[in-house]
Amino acid sequence: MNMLLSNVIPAITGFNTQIVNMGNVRNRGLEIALGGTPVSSRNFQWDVNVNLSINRNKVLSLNENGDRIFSGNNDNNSTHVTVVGKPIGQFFGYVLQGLYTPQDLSDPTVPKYPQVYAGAGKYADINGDGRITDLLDYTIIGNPYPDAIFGISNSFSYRNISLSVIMNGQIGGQVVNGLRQTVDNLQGFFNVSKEWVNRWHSTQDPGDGKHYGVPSTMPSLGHRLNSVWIEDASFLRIANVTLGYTLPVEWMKRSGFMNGGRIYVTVQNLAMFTRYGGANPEGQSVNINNTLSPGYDMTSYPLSRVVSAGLNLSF
Amino acid sequence: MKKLSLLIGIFVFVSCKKDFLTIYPENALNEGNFYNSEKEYILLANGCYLGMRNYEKEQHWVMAELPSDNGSFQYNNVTGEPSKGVIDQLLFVSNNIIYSSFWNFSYGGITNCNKLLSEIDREGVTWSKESLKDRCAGEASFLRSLYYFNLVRQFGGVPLVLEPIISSEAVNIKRSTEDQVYTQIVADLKQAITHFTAARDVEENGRANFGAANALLGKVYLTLHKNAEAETMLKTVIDSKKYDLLPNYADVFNPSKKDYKETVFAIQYSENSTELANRFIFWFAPWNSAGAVTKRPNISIISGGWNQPTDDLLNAFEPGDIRKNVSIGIYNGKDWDGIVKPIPYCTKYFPPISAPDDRAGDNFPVIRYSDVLLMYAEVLNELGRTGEALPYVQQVRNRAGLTRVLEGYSKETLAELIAKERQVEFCFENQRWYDLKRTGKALEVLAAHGAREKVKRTYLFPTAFQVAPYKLLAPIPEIQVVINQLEQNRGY
Repeated sequence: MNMLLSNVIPAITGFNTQIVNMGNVRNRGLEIALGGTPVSSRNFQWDVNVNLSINRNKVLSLNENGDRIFSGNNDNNSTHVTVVGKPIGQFFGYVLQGLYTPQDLSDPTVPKYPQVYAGAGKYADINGDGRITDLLDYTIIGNPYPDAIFGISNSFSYRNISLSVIMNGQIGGQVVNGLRQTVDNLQGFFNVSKEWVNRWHSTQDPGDGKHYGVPSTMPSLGHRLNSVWIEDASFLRIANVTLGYTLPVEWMKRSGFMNGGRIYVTVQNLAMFTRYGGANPEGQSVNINNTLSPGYDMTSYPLSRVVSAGLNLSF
Repeated sequence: MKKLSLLIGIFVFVSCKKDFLTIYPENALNEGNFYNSEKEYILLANGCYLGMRNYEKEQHWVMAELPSDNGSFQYNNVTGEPSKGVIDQLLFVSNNIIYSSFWNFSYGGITNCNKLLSEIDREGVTWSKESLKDRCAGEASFLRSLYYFNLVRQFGGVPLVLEPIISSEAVNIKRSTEDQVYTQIVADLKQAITHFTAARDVEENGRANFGAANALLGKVYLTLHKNAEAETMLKTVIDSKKYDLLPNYADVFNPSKKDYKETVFAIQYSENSTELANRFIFWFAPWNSAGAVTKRPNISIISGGWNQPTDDLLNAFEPGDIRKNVSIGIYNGKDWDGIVKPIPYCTKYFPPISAPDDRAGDNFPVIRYSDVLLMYAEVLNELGRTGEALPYVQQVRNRAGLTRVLEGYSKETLAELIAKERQVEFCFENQRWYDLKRTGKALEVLAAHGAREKVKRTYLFPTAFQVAPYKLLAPIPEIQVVINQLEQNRGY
């Protein structure tokens, strides 16, 4: 499949990007749908439907030189990279290795960036040049695409009572928790999450090694996309539960004017089981139209739980 | 049937035409229908100014005034804006958006200049006056040289692009040496002078002209320490009698009196639209001053407080120097630490009262006549003619209210006086960083300045103000190092 891509080009041309028709991507997938009725007796019936889809995309070629394409933007820094041999739009940033200690600061062999201070994030020196540089020390830190997505629907009926449960979910895949990236900021501008209690305080109290200390100065690279904000997007969601009771036909007949009736209660989005810390692992509100930078959840609106009850009568 | 096959035949013939895919839309301006008359070339010449009009707004002062001992910033723990404050502290990182924006705007402008120069000799274009064609060509040559002059002074050798290029060609263009870039700058300015000589009847206020090209070439030669050549160029400007100092220093920066007597070349701004306007006062006013300084309480200046005058600059003014109050204002207010104190700010660029929002129309001077005079004095002094140089320095000082008669100066002491004179005369005009580099005093001055700042401003990074020779060149924007595969400056 050919792709029209916004390729980043040298600025000495007077332009920064150019739409090129050079990319080639292969999409392969497998979809399975199974349905069955495990139990069926006079009073009780259980129907189940399961679907599973597994999709893989892989970039086969990009531009004339096979150069990487950077995309996404956070504080002037790319957040995604597209390279030949990988799926489109991989997360691209620093790997957080811990926090700088005062000893690190005085040790010239520890790779650093110029705006460093004790308690600041310590990133991996990917290119091994002895210093930490934006872009040059970025690497692929996550894949926005799930290994598989699935849906399960069950419906049970016992005499006049029916229950249906629809669940869906995904296995694997990651998402950038953009909300955390925004509020992981100790400038006093935003609320901060509770994990910041365990931030770096001093050499004696270095915290959990993931949360930098209050900058004595001003933020430096604390906001660059790094491995801390890449979270597992696997989830299982109970999307819909409906419990219904069909009114007995005799009652209806006795009333003289009704033919049938049903009372039900439906709950949408009853529960979500995920390790993702944001509102919705499926949500993304940044670059939603850009195929090159998927999976960046910038405070997407959480799914609301809807409970509805109803009575159906037919005359 | 015969007719039909003929029709198909014609159709096949037409669709086989080779330029089938190079069709230009007819309802909009484009490459295919643009170059018809002088009107389009004048539009293109206007476009050549675009890059610098943009980068003078928000990038150039960050790169040419903040790292020097003149400009600093008012600490703001709310916005904590990281891209400009680090430059003040000599923490230069290659991915700073300031560098990439400056680079992109520069090459955007250069691309427009290249386009004009490559299309100016098209046949079949009617020019009402041949001199207009010279003016357009002169402007493009002048502006291209100014773009490269600023680039080379910031980054050292940069890729030298002199024709319109496409991206597959661009990846093969690497950095030229500083010498090669300067050679091109000199050649462009000589070309510009030739064109402008033929275009003196169509000079327009605000456009680059003969005087500007001579003055800029004088500055380029001065930067290269080619003093004899610089003397010739600067003398041409002085002898032209076209320029003079305004009696009142403040009038030079008064947006309601767009000055063309003292101003040799300036970036033109207008409050008529956001694109045409600058917002210097909204950057420079103390961020806690609300509307007290800007007189625009409705405009948020929470990200302001930039280009704050340093103690070093405040102390550089001699007693009685009228330039101090024109250039620097004091706002008494509660600073970031909650303490009420006098907060100095740059007040050279002030919006006219008629500006409806955060648009201001003050021009940004690039070369003023006082610059020509002080450069000329510097050149004469360097050539060992110290006595001859004194009247030019005196002229600039007299206007500033410093009428003490200058006498008894040696070459060294006059060089020091000129440097100090330039520091205060051109504060916040993007000269100081380049002056420090040109005079070879940068490392010494910055080390002393940094030591003072670190004592005074406890919130600076532990690594702030580490002075090193490599920092006299800015890092090449990282994205260009990767995409264009350019060699990074040493040290970064």
